[in-house]
Amino acid sequence: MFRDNSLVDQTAVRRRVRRVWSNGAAGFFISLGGVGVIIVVLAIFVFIGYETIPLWTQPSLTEIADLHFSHPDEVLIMGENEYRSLGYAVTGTGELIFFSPSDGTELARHRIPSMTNVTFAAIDPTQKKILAIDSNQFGLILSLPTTYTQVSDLDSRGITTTPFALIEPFTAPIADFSVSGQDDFYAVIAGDKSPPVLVTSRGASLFAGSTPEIVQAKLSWDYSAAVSSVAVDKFGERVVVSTTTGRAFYWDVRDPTNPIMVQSIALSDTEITATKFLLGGQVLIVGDAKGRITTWTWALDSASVNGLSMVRLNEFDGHTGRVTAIASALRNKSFITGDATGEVFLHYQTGGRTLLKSRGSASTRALTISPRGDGILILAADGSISIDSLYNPYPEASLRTLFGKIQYEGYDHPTYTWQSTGGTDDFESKFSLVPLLFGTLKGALYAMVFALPVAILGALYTALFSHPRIRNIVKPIVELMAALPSVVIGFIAALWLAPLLETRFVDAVVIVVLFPLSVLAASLLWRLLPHAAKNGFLSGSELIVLVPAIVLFMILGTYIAPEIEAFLFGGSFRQWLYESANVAYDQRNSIVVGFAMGFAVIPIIFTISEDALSGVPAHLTAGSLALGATRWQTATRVVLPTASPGIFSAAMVGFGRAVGETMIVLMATGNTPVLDFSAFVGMRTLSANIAVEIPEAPYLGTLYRILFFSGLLLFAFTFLVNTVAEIIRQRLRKRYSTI
Amino acid sequence: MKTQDMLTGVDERLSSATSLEQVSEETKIRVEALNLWYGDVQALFDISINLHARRISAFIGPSGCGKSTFLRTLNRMNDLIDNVRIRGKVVIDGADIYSDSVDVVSLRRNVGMIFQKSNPFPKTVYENVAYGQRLLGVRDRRVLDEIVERSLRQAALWDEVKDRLEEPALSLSGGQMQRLCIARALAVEPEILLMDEPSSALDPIATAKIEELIVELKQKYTIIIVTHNMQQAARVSDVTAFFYLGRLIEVGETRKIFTSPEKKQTEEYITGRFG
Repeated sequence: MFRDNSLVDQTAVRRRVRRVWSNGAAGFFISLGGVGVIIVVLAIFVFIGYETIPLWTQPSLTEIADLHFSHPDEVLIMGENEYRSLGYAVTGTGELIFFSPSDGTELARHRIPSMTNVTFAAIDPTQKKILAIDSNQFGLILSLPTTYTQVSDLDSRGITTTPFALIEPFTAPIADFSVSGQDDFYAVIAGDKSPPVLVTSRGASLFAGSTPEIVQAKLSWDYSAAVSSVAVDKFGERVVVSTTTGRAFYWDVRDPTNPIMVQSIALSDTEITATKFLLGGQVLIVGDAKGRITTWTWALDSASVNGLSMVRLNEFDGHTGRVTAIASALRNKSFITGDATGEVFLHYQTGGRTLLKSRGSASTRALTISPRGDGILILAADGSISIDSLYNPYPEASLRTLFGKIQYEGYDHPTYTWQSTGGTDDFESKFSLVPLLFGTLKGALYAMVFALPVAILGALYTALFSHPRIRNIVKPIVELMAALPSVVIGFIAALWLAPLLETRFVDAVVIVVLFPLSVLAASLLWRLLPHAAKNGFLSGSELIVLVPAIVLFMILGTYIAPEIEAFLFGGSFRQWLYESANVAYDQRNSIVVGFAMGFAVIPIIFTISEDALSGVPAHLTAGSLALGATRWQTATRVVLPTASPGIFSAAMVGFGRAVGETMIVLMATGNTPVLDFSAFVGMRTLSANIAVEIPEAPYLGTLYRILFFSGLLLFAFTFLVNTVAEIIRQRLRKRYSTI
Repeated sequence: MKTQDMLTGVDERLSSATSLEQVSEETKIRVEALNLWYGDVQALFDISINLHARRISAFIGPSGCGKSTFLRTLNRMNDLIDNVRIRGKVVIDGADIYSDSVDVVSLRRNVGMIFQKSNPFPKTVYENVAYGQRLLGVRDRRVLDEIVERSLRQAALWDEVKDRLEEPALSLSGGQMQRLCIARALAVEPEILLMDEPSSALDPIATAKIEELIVELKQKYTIIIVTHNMQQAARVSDVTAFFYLGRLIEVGETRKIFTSPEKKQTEEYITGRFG
């Protein structure tokens, strides 16, 4: 007896222990799952955010070494190789001094042949050639080898020289120098009082012989102010001669034997002290005596002689003293400026930002950015060279370039443009996310325009009007639609629907108009049917009349549409649209996307709405019907408002899905990032943009990170939409709660 | 003790009912040989009954006896249920409501219904009462104000809610909500009110108020009430009909049914031997 009792106790205890255990385990796993989901979502958010953070890091400048030569005053210009392992400086005494940029030690000296008193020296923007001019009207082009890592690479065999005699004597020349290709170069040289001379070496081809022909042309000059700066672009097409009054002259020098002055323009109200072309030769950087830095570009202008004229782009943070030196980067649109007080600023042309300001002590005489943009050399008036390393990895990205209206080079007005890559290395990247955000919303809205009425009215019909048997068939079928891969929908939309709609757009419109008419006609027919005939059917069996009516009207629509098109639009809607409204019809347009993406979001909106509508308590419906309300009145006045929170969240979930949808928009939108409200043009959405560009974005580059940033935006956007939807839903639910 | 209470209640009610008895014997609803099936299952068998105007008729019987089903045939609420078949006649004011020419919507407007569970719409108090009139297309705020006030007064709710007309109906108490539903039904000016256990979900005080109201409404309306509560039937009704297993067992003056029923089943149910 006693033993038995203890046994019973033991099993009871064991059972209780097991219960506590399984309860605890279940609780643990459920919490683990819930917390896990939150952690995973947060982790994704953190990861995406982490990838974008470097975009916003500030550039920095660190001095590595300070270099003093034995004849300090005579250094004219300096440069470095690509790896920053070997630097060189040209002195007024005609020497080439080599130094180590990592510690500033002098490595060797070479004498430049037949140059004793160099009065001017310049490095071309690609840093492959050096122009030196001596006091004996003698010019020399020093061509550096494509790669060099040690001094021995730069001996008399490594460096080739091209001498030429100047047609005009310049005692203290002002000059600019650029090269294109292997041997072609352009130099514009002026004295402060004498008119500029353009020195061109072009046409060094296999057949023209080994020595290139050098052409020198005087730019005829009748302006009284003294020349203060000259600039020539890398294609040898444009020369800008600036003067001490701030006025500048733009010459078209495509034909070097016959330079044409195109434009006289005031680039400043005071002396222009420095000018330089930015990478790509489309932008001129202008510094003046008051320290102001502006950039100018060439925009189409039908009034101009050659169809181009200079327009102003940006003004940057100004210097304290007069601008003395400007240098452009070789890899992006960065440039540095220095002034008479020793300030050195780093700027980025796109978006007009001054990224970095550094102060020095002595006046800046010359500046060079290293070929990879990772360092700068600052030549001070005292002859010392400061070797600095520059950290400037993502200058293209700023809130302004991503969201603002930017005037890009070659444009005469600011635009919102996404054009991340171009055909050349010196292309100006256009990273405006505005057209993408716009496209995302546009696509989603067109999808909603199609999906919302269809899904909600469908849900209304299925939940409240149809026969339960029909409902039991329709609902799973619509839900099955959601299982259709979006790539299939996109494929069908792009390859079947878009071409079909292109030729038979009017048919689609006619059918859309006829659809409600067919329903009305069917209901009229239904009404005319005798009561006795109808009572045989169960409620909701109106479909027997409705479906044939709709089909009939559709067929009718396809027959009358060509007639309508012929009558109203002269046979071709597309042509009519273009000719009368000047609206282009793209094959992949918003309407196609609306249909395709609408198709994709209908199931989710339908299902959630249907559940919400079916979930309205039957006693409310009964109460309304008992008051003499018709089914329709009950549906619109009692059921719809009561189910509105659910329908609202259905719409929001559908909207969220449409915003994030990728495959369909990728295939059916044409992916043109345009900011156009027209329904007949396509768009590019944020999600499709990521899909299109991430495979080509250099790993950890600016584009890569900007794409991550747009992912973050998408994430935040969905988060915002869902949060707002949830708040509104809760409010509605409070308002329409039932007992 | 319980029976004692019930019988005294009956006696009190009977004394007052006797005087009213002569007021009307006009038949409002005539039901002839009504049969109803849910699919293959027959729920009502051959029911014939006359219900009088401006009287309170109570339907009693055990659960599942068909009294609520029968009540719903009187305004065709059973139409909403799938697979229901009806044979027989329900004649209201001389017209068979199951004939093809009958407009169900106007029938229901004429035959109002109060449900077991109060079912105010998730709207304001005002909009609940005005709902029926709005369905008829009444937009004039003054007309609606008047109807809302009158209906709420009739439902003895006006004084309690006159300052809360714009509050959600769901903020009212259970008893108030049920009276609101009555006011809502009254606002469409029906002639007949069907009440399906209107106070079964309410506490005794709220029940008393509803009962008081029902007796009050008898002046103007033909009231049919389904109840589980025999004391309630005894207290408020003039005529009581006893249903059992889908059949109408006995119908008669409430006094008579509760004091000297003719059928044995009636007596057994009333005295609590089953049910």
